[in-house]
Amino acid sequence: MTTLLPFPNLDGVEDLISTPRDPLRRRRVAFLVFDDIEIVDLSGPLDVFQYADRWLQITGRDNEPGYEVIVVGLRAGPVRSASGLEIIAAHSCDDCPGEIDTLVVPGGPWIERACAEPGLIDWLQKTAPRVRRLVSVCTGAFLLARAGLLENRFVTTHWMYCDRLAALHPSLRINRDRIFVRDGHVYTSGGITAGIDLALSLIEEDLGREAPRFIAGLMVVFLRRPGGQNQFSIFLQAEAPNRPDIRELQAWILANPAEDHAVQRLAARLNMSPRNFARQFLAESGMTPAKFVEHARVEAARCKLEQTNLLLEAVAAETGFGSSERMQRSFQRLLGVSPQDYRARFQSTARLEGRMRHEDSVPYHGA
Amino acid sequence: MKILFLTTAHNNLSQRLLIELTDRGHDVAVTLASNDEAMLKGAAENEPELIIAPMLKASIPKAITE
Repeated sequence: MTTLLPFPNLDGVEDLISTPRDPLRRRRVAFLVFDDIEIVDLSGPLDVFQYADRWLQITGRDNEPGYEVIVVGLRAGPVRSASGLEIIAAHSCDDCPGEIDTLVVPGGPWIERACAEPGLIDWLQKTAPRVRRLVSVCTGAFLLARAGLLENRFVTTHWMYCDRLAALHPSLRINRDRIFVRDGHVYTSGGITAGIDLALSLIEEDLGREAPRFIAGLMVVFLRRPGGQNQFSIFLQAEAPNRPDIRELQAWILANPAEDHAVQRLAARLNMSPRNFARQFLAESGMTPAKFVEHARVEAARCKLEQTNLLLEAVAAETGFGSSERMQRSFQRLLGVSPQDYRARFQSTARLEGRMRHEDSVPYHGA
Repeated sequence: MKILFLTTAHNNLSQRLLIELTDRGHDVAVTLASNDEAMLKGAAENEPELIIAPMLKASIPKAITE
C-alpha cells in the first residue's frame, strides 16, 4: 500500500495542522547593533526579512522555513543610533541564541568607534565561523574587516568610505560602484539603503523570485536598481595632489570644463613636456590627465542636468563634450546611467517644488 | 585549554579550526597579527597556554615565545 501521508492516522494530521509552526524550523537572522548605528542599515534589511516571513504565512507556504529576526547588542538594552533614536537590543553578545543562519552587521558614520570595541570584534570572530551567511551593510564592512573576516575578499562599502577601507585593509578587493557584492558566503553592500537591495537578493536565494518582487513592491523600492553607487557619489575620489601646480591645474580644469584640455596644452601650461607632465600627473592624482578631464566634464554636466533645463546638446557643448553622444558614452562609463536617466532621477526637487508653488499661485485671486 | 590564534586573517582555515577547538571545549581567542604591538597585546591579555598560527605572514615577536 502506498502511504500518502507520513502519519498513519488522522490524529497525526490534525496535530500537524493545529500545531503552531515549529520555531526551530525558522531561519534565525541576527542583526548586530552598537552605539551610533545608522538606523536605516538596520531597519531596511530587517523589514525585508520580516515581510518575507509574513509573505510565507500569507501565501500559505508553511512548509518552508520563515525568518526569526533577533537584535543583538554588546549588552542587552537600549542602544543609541546615530540619529538619536534608541533601539532595544533584546540579546547581549553573551546570551545570544546559537544557530544563526544569517548574521547582518550594519554600519554607522563613526564606525571606527565600534571597531575599537574588543567585545564586538571578539564576538564576531567567534560567531561568524558558524553562520551560513555573513552580511554587512554600508560601513559594517569595517567591523568584519577589523575582525579579519574579509581578508583577500571581493567587497564593497559606502562609496564615501571606500578609500578609507582600502587604506586600513589593503588586501581587500573593493568595488566602489557595486550596490552589493557576494564572495562565497560573505555579502557586503554599498551605502545605507543598498542594504535593502542586498536583503531582497538574500530572500530570492532562499525563497525564489516571487517573494522579493512582492516585498520590493510593498516597500516601494527597485527590485534591481538601475546603475551602481557611483551615480550617487558627489565627486571624484579627490586624491589631493601634493604638488601645488598640479592642484591648481586640476582646479582650473574643474572650473573650465569646456576648454580644450589636450595633454599638450595642459603640459604647456606647466612648462613641461607632454610625456613628463602625463607621468607626473598620474603619479600625483592616481589617474591620467585625460581621465581626470573626463571626470571633471561628467561632474560639470551632472550639475547642469540637475539644476537647469538645458537641452542635452547644450549641456554637452557647455561642458566640453562637444556632442551629446560623447557625453552619453562618458556617463555610461563612469556612472552606469545615461544623461537622460540621470536627469530624470536627480533633477533638483527644489526646482520641481518651486514650479508647483508658482503654478498653484496663479489661479488664486482671493480676498 | 586557553588557546590564542595569532593570524594575519581569520580566514576559512582559521574559522574552521576555531569551530573544531571550541566544540572540544577549548577557549579560543583570536588576535589579528597586524603588527608586533597587536600580537604582544593579544598574548598579554589572553594569557594562552597554547598559541596557534593558522595563517601568519609576520614573525612572532621574540618576547612572546620567551
